[in-house]
Amino acid sequence: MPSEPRPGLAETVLETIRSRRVTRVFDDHPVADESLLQVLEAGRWATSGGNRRIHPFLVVRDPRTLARLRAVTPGMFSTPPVVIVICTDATRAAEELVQLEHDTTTWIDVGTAAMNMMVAAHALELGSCPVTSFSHGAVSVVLGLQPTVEPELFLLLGHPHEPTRPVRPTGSGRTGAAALPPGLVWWEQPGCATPELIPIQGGRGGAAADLYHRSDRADRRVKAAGPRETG
Amino acid sequence: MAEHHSGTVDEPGDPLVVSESEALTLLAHLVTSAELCMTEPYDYGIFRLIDAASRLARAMVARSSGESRAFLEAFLEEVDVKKMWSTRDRERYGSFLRETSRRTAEHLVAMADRRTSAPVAPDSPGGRDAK
Repeated sequence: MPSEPRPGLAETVLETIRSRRVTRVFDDHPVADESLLQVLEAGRWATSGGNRRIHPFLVVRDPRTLARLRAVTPGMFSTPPVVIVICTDATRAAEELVQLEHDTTTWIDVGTAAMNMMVAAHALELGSCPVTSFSHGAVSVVLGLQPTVEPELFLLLGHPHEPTRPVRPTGSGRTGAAALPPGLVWWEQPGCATPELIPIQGGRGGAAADLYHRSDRADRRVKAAGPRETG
Repeated sequence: MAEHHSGTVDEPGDPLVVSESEALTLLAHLVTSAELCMTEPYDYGIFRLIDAASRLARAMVARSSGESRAFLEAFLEEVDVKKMWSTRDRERYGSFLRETSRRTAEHLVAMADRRTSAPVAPDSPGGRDAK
Protein backbone atom coordinates (compact mmCIF):
# COMPACT_ATOMS: atom_id res chain seq x y z
CA MET A 1 0.00 0.00 0.00
CA PRO A 2 1.47 3.37 -0.96
CA SER A 3 2.60 5.48 1.97
CA GLU A 4 1.21 8.96 2.54
CA PRO A 5 3.25 11.65 0.78
CA ARG A 6 5.11 13.94 3.18
CA PRO A 7 3.58 17.40 2.95
CA GLY A 8 5.62 19.74 0.76
CA LEU A 9 8.51 17.32 0.25
CA ALA A 10 7.93 16.62 -3.43
CA GLU A 11 7.49 20.27 -4.35
CA THR A 12 10.58 21.31 -2.37
CA VAL A 13 12.72 18.67 -4.00
CA LEU A 14 11.37 19.31 -7.49
CA GLU A 15 11.73 23.06 -7.20
CA THR A 16 15.33 22.65 -6.01
CA ILE A 17 16.03 20.45 -9.01
CA ARG A 18 14.26 22.78 -11.43
CA SER A 19 15.97 25.95 -10.24
CA ARG A 20 19.55 24.62 -10.13
CA ARG A 21 21.89 26.00 -12.78
CA VAL A 22 25.55 25.50 -13.55
CA THR A 23 27.78 28.22 -12.12
CA ARG A 24 30.92 28.83 -14.16
CA VAL A 25 32.29 31.97 -12.50
CA PHE A 26 32.69 32.22 -8.72
CA ASP A 27 33.48 35.08 -6.36
CA ASP A 28 36.24 35.03 -3.73
CA HIS A 29 34.10 34.15 -0.72
CA PRO A 30 35.12 30.87 0.91
CA VAL A 31 32.73 27.98 1.35
CA ALA A 32 31.87 27.42 5.01
CA ASP A 33 33.09 24.11 6.37
CA GLU A 34 29.61 23.18 7.49
CA SER A 35 28.20 23.71 3.98
CA LEU A 36 31.06 21.78 2.42
CA LEU A 37 30.46 18.85 4.75
CA GLN A 38 26.77 18.86 3.90
CA VAL A 39 27.57 18.76 0.19
CA LEU A 40 29.97 15.87 0.74
CA GLU A 41 27.36 14.07 2.80
CA ALA A 42 24.90 14.43 -0.08
CA GLY A 43 27.46 12.70 -2.29
CA ARG A 44 27.83 9.96 0.26
CA TRP A 45 24.09 9.21 0.02
CA ALA A 46 24.16 8.76 -3.76
CA THR A 47 23.45 5.40 -5.28
CA SER A 48 26.48 3.18 -5.75
CA GLY A 49 26.40 0.00 -7.81
CA GLY A 50 26.45 -2.92 -5.40
CA ASN A 51 27.12 -0.39 -2.62
CA ARG A 52 30.80 -0.78 -3.47
CA ARG A 53 31.79 2.86 -2.78
CA ILE A 54 34.93 2.96 -4.87
CA HIS A 55 34.86 6.71 -5.53
CA PRO A 56 36.61 8.81 -2.87
CA PHE A 57 36.02 12.57 -2.87
CA LEU A 58 39.25 14.59 -2.84
CA VAL A 59 38.68 18.14 -1.56
CA VAL A 60 41.04 20.79 -2.94
CA ARG A 61 41.09 24.23 -1.30
CA ASP A 62 44.71 25.39 -1.45
CA PRO A 63 44.81 28.41 -3.81
CA ARG A 64 48.11 27.36 -5.38
CA THR A 65 46.83 23.87 -6.12
CA LEU A 66 43.58 25.29 -7.47
CA ALA A 67 45.53 27.59 -9.82
CA ARG A 68 47.60 24.65 -11.07
CA LEU A 69 44.49 22.56 -11.54
CA ARG A 70 42.94 25.29 -13.62
CA ALA A 71 46.03 25.43 -15.83
CA VAL A 72 45.54 21.80 -16.87
CA THR A 73 41.74 21.90 -16.89
CA PRO A 74 40.47 23.72 -19.96
CA GLY A 75 36.92 23.19 -18.69
CA MET A 76 37.53 25.42 -15.67
CA PHE A 77 36.59 28.95 -16.67
CA SER A 78 37.39 30.48 -13.31
CA THR A 79 39.02 29.41 -10.08
CA PRO A 80 36.50 28.43 -7.41
CA PRO A 81 37.33 28.28 -3.69
CA VAL A 82 36.72 24.52 -3.63
CA VAL A 83 37.10 21.70 -6.11
CA ILE A 84 35.81 18.27 -5.15
CA VAL A 85 37.58 15.69 -7.29
CA ILE A 86 35.53 12.51 -7.56
CA CYS A 87 38.06 9.74 -8.06
CA THR A 88 38.08 6.04 -8.73
CA ASP A 89 40.20 4.05 -6.32
CA ALA A 90 41.41 1.02 -8.27
CA THR A 91 42.69 -0.66 -5.11
CA ARG A 92 39.29 -0.51 -3.49
CA ALA A 93 37.68 -1.56 -6.77
CA ALA A 94 39.88 -4.66 -6.91
CA GLU A 95 38.94 -5.52 -3.35
CA GLU A 96 35.30 -5.25 -4.39
CA LEU A 97 35.94 -7.46 -7.46
CA VAL A 98 34.99 -4.62 -9.83
CA GLN A 99 36.25 -4.98 -13.41
CA LEU A 100 37.04 -1.35 -14.05
CA GLU A 101 38.02 -1.87 -17.67
CA HIS A 102 34.54 -3.19 -18.50
CA ASP A 103 32.20 -1.86 -15.84
CA THR A 104 30.62 1.40 -16.97
CA THR A 105 28.33 1.54 -13.95
CA THR A 106 31.23 3.07 -12.07
CA TRP A 107 30.89 6.18 -14.24
CA ILE A 108 27.20 6.30 -13.44
CA ASP A 109 28.08 6.24 -9.76
CA VAL A 110 30.35 9.22 -10.32
CA GLY A 111 27.44 11.01 -11.97
CA THR A 112 24.92 10.25 -9.27
CA ALA A 113 27.31 11.43 -6.57
CA ALA A 114 27.99 14.63 -8.50
CA MET A 115 24.29 15.26 -9.06
CA ASN A 116 23.45 14.77 -5.40
CA MET A 117 26.18 17.22 -4.46
CA MET A 118 25.04 19.79 -7.02
CA VAL A 119 21.47 19.70 -5.79
CA ALA A 120 22.62 19.93 -2.18
CA ALA A 121 24.93 22.83 -3.05
CA HIS A 122 22.04 24.65 -4.66
CA ALA A 123 19.87 24.07 -1.61
CA LEU A 124 22.68 25.61 0.46
CA GLU A 125 22.78 28.64 -1.90
CA LEU A 126 26.11 27.63 -3.37
CA GLY A 127 26.95 27.41 -7.05
CA SER A 128 28.47 24.32 -8.61
CA CYS A 129 29.75 23.10 -11.95
CA PRO A 130 30.71 19.60 -13.09
CA VAL A 131 33.88 19.50 -15.19
CA THR A 132 35.37 16.57 -17.07
CA SER A 133 37.46 18.55 -19.56
CA PHE A 134 40.84 18.03 -17.96
CA SER A 135 43.99 16.09 -18.71
CA HIS A 136 43.89 13.05 -16.44
CA GLY A 137 47.65 12.63 -16.55
CA ALA A 138 48.35 16.28 -15.83
CA VAL A 139 45.82 16.38 -13.00
CA SER A 140 47.39 13.30 -11.44
CA VAL A 141 50.73 15.12 -11.44
CA VAL A 142 49.29 18.34 -9.99
CA LEU A 143 47.46 16.47 -7.22
CA GLY A 144 50.22 13.91 -6.61
CA LEU A 145 47.78 11.03 -7.07
CA GLN A 146 48.86 7.43 -6.75
CA PRO A 147 48.75 5.49 -10.05
CA THR A 148 45.83 3.51 -8.65
CA VAL A 149 43.71 6.64 -8.19
CA GLU A 150 41.99 8.07 -11.26
CA PRO A 151 40.40 11.54 -11.25
CA GLU A 152 36.99 11.21 -12.90
CA LEU A 153 35.07 14.45 -12.41
CA PHE A 154 35.63 17.84 -10.82
CA LEU A 155 32.81 19.51 -8.97
CA LEU A 156 33.58 23.20 -8.74
CA LEU A 157 31.98 24.73 -5.68
CA GLY A 158 31.61 28.28 -4.45
CA HIS A 159 29.47 31.37 -4.42
CA PRO A 160 28.27 32.55 -7.84
CA HIS A 161 29.98 35.70 -9.11
CA GLU A 162 26.64 36.87 -10.46
CA PRO A 163 23.08 35.88 -9.67
CA THR A 164 21.96 32.85 -11.61
CA ARG A 165 20.60 33.74 -15.02
CA PRO A 166 16.93 32.94 -15.32
CA VAL A 167 17.38 30.41 -18.11
CA ARG A 168 14.21 28.39 -18.43
CA PRO A 169 14.47 25.00 -20.07
CA THR A 170 11.81 23.96 -22.55
CA GLY A 171 8.69 22.94 -20.71
CA SER A 172 9.50 24.76 -17.48
CA GLY A 173 6.47 26.26 -15.81
CA ARG A 174 4.27 23.53 -17.26
CA THR A 175 3.07 20.38 -15.65
CA GLY A 176 2.34 16.85 -16.71
CA ALA A 177 3.24 15.77 -20.25
CA ALA A 178 3.47 19.40 -21.36
CA ALA A 179 6.49 19.87 -19.07
CA LEU A 180 8.46 17.33 -21.07
CA PRO A 181 10.28 18.72 -24.10
CA PRO A 182 9.62 17.05 -27.45
CA GLY A 183 11.63 13.92 -28.05
CA LEU A 184 12.79 13.50 -24.45
CA VAL A 185 10.57 10.64 -23.40
CA TRP A 186 9.77 7.49 -25.31
CA TRP A 187 6.91 5.58 -23.77
CA GLU A 188 6.93 1.85 -23.82
CA GLN A 189 3.69 0.40 -25.13
CA PRO A 190 3.12 -2.94 -23.42
CA GLY A 191 2.19 -5.65 -25.84
CA CYS A 192 2.88 -3.57 -28.92
CA ALA A 193 3.83 -5.94 -31.71
CA THR A 194 4.63 -3.38 -34.37
CA PRO A 195 7.82 -1.41 -33.99
CA GLU A 196 6.34 1.74 -35.51
CA LEU A 197 6.58 5.14 -33.89
CA ILE A 198 3.19 6.03 -32.54
CA PRO A 199 2.85 9.70 -31.69
CA ILE A 200 0.72 10.50 -28.70
CA GLN A 201 -0.56 13.79 -27.43
CA GLY A 202 2.16 15.66 -25.60
CA GLY A 203 4.78 18.31 -25.92
CA ARG A 204 4.14 21.98 -25.72
CA GLY A 205 0.61 23.17 -25.25
CA GLY A 206 -0.81 20.09 -26.90
CA ALA A 207 0.80 21.00 -30.20
CA ALA A 208 2.06 18.41 -32.65
CA ALA A 209 2.90 15.35 -30.68
CA ASP A 210 6.55 14.51 -30.32
CA LEU A 211 6.29 11.82 -27.70
CA TYR A 212 6.19 8.34 -29.05
CA HIS A 213 5.22 4.89 -28.03
CA ARG A 214 8.12 2.57 -28.51
CA SER A 215 7.78 -1.16 -28.48
CA ASP A 216 11.25 -2.00 -27.26
CA ARG A 217 14.86 -0.99 -27.29
CA ALA A 218 15.69 -3.03 -30.34
CA ASP A 219 13.22 -0.96 -32.30
CA ARG A 220 14.96 2.21 -31.16
CA ARG A 221 18.24 0.92 -32.50
CA VAL A 222 16.64 0.09 -35.83
CA LYS A 223 15.17 3.58 -36.12
CA ALA A 224 18.46 5.19 -35.17
CA ALA A 225 20.27 3.20 -37.84
CA GLY A 226 17.99 4.39 -40.63
CA PRO A 227 15.10 2.99 -42.68
CA ARG A 228 14.18 -0.58 -41.91
CA GLU A 229 15.01 -3.22 -44.43
CA THR A 230 12.16 -5.46 -45.40
CA GLY A 231 12.07 -8.94 -46.77
CA MET B 1 65.12 43.56 -35.22
CA ALA B 2 65.67 40.00 -33.98
CA GLU B 3 63.74 37.15 -35.51
CA HIS B 4 62.81 34.23 -33.25
CA HIS B 5 62.30 30.58 -34.10
CA SER B 6 58.60 31.24 -33.51
CA GLY B 7 58.56 33.48 -36.57
CA THR B 8 57.82 36.59 -34.54
CA VAL B 9 60.00 39.64 -34.74
CA ASP B 10 61.12 41.84 -31.84
CA GLU B 11 60.09 45.31 -32.84
CA PRO B 12 62.17 48.10 -31.30
CA GLY B 13 60.62 49.19 -28.01
CA ASP B 14 58.50 46.07 -27.54
CA PRO B 15 57.55 45.68 -23.86
CA LEU B 16 57.47 42.22 -22.29
CA VAL B 17 53.85 41.74 -21.28
CA VAL B 18 53.64 38.14 -20.03
CA SER B 19 55.60 36.62 -17.16
CA GLU B 20 57.20 33.20 -17.31
CA SER B 21 54.57 31.69 -14.98
CA GLU B 22 51.76 33.22 -17.02
CA ALA B 23 53.28 31.84 -20.20
CA LEU B 24 53.68 28.39 -18.66
CA THR B 25 50.09 28.45 -17.46
CA LEU B 26 48.89 29.27 -20.95
CA LEU B 27 51.18 26.61 -22.39
CA ALA B 28 49.62 24.04 -20.05
CA HIS B 29 46.16 25.17 -21.11
CA LEU B 30 47.02 24.83 -24.80
CA VAL B 31 48.67 21.43 -24.46
CA THR B 32 45.89 19.95 -22.34
CA SER B 33 43.31 21.44 -24.71
CA ALA B 34 45.03 19.70 -27.60
CA GLU B 35 44.82 16.41 -25.71
CA LEU B 36 41.11 16.93 -25.05
CA CYS B 37 40.44 17.73 -28.71
CA MET B 38 41.18 14.06 -29.42
CA THR B 39 37.99 13.00 -27.65
CA GLU B 40 35.69 15.99 -27.22
CA PRO B 41 33.09 17.27 -29.70
CA TYR B 42 34.70 18.98 -32.69
CA ASP B 43 33.39 22.46 -31.95
CA TYR B 44 35.01 22.42 -28.52
CA GLY B 45 38.34 22.94 -30.25
CA ILE B 46 37.19 26.30 -31.60
CA PHE B 47 36.10 27.28 -28.13
CA ARG B 48 39.37 26.16 -26.55
CA LEU B 49 41.33 28.37 -28.95
CA ILE B 50 39.28 31.50 -28.39
CA ASP B 51 39.31 30.77 -24.65
CA ALA B 52 43.10 30.54 -24.81
CA ALA B 53 43.16 33.89 -26.62
CA SER B 54 41.04 35.31 -23.82
CA ARG B 55 43.43 33.95 -21.19
CA LEU B 56 46.44 35.38 -23.06
CA ALA B 57 44.78 38.76 -23.38
CA ARG B 58 43.98 38.77 -19.67
CA ALA B 59 47.61 38.01 -18.83
CA MET B 60 48.85 40.71 -21.21
CA VAL B 61 46.52 43.56 -20.42
CA ALA B 62 48.13 45.00 -17.28
CA ARG B 63 51.61 45.39 -18.79
CA SER B 64 50.65 46.36 -22.31
CA SER B 65 51.12 49.77 -23.86
CA GLY B 66 48.21 52.17 -23.87
CA GLU B 67 46.99 51.34 -27.37
CA SER B 68 47.23 47.61 -26.85
CA ARG B 69 45.64 47.85 -23.43
CA ALA B 70 42.62 49.59 -24.89
CA PHE B 71 42.40 46.97 -27.62
CA LEU B 72 42.75 44.12 -25.14
CA GLU B 73 40.22 45.54 -22.71
CA ALA B 74 37.68 45.87 -25.51
CA PHE B 75 38.52 42.36 -26.71
CA LEU B 76 38.09 40.88 -23.23
CA GLU B 77 34.82 42.63 -22.63
CA GLU B 78 33.44 41.14 -25.82
CA VAL B 79 35.07 37.72 -25.84
CA ASP B 80 34.03 36.77 -22.34
CA VAL B 81 30.42 37.11 -23.37
CA LYS B 82 30.55 35.81 -26.92
CA LYS B 83 32.97 32.91 -26.55
CA MET B 84 30.08 30.85 -25.20
CA TRP B 85 27.99 31.37 -28.31
CA SER B 86 29.46 28.33 -30.04
CA THR B 87 26.80 26.11 -28.49
CA ARG B 88 23.93 28.52 -29.07
CA ASP B 89 24.19 30.39 -32.34
CA ARG B 90 26.83 29.17 -34.76
CA GLU B 91 26.14 31.88 -37.35
CA ARG B 92 26.61 34.72 -34.88
CA TYR B 93 29.62 32.93 -33.45
CA GLY B 94 31.21 32.83 -36.89
CA SER B 95 30.52 36.52 -37.40
CA PHE B 96 32.08 37.31 -34.04
CA LEU B 97 35.21 35.29 -34.84
CA ARG B 98 35.61 36.86 -38.29
CA GLU B 99 35.19 40.36 -36.91
CA THR B 100 37.59 39.64 -34.04
CA SER B 101 40.21 38.33 -36.47
CA ARG B 102 39.86 41.46 -38.58
CA ARG B 103 40.17 43.80 -35.60
CA THR B 104 43.15 41.89 -34.23
CA ALA B 105 44.91 42.15 -37.59
CA GLU B 106 44.18 45.88 -37.74
CA HIS B 107 45.69 46.37 -34.30
CA LEU B 108 48.68 44.17 -35.14
CA VAL B 109 49.44 46.17 -38.27
CA ALA B 110 48.88 49.54 -36.59
CA MET B 111 51.21 48.67 -33.72
CA ALA B 112 53.88 47.27 -36.03
CA ASP B 113 53.73 50.36 -38.24
CA ARG B 114 53.98 52.64 -35.21
CA ARG B 115 56.98 50.81 -33.75
CA THR B 116 58.95 50.64 -36.98
CA SER B 117 58.49 54.37 -37.53
CA ALA B 118 59.33 55.37 -33.94
CA PRO B 119 62.90 56.29 -32.91
CA VAL B 120 64.55 53.76 -30.61
CA ALA B 121 66.25 54.80 -27.39
CA PRO B 122 69.64 53.04 -27.13
CA ASP B 123 69.01 51.85 -23.57
CA SER B 124 65.43 50.68 -24.09
CA PRO B 125 64.77 46.92 -23.86
CA GLY B 126 63.88 46.85 -27.52
CA GLY B 127 67.00 48.80 -28.38
CA ARG B 128 69.25 46.43 -26.51
CA ASP B 129 67.69 43.35 -28.07
CA ALA B 130 67.65 44.74 -31.59
CA LYS B 131 70.40 43.61 -33.93
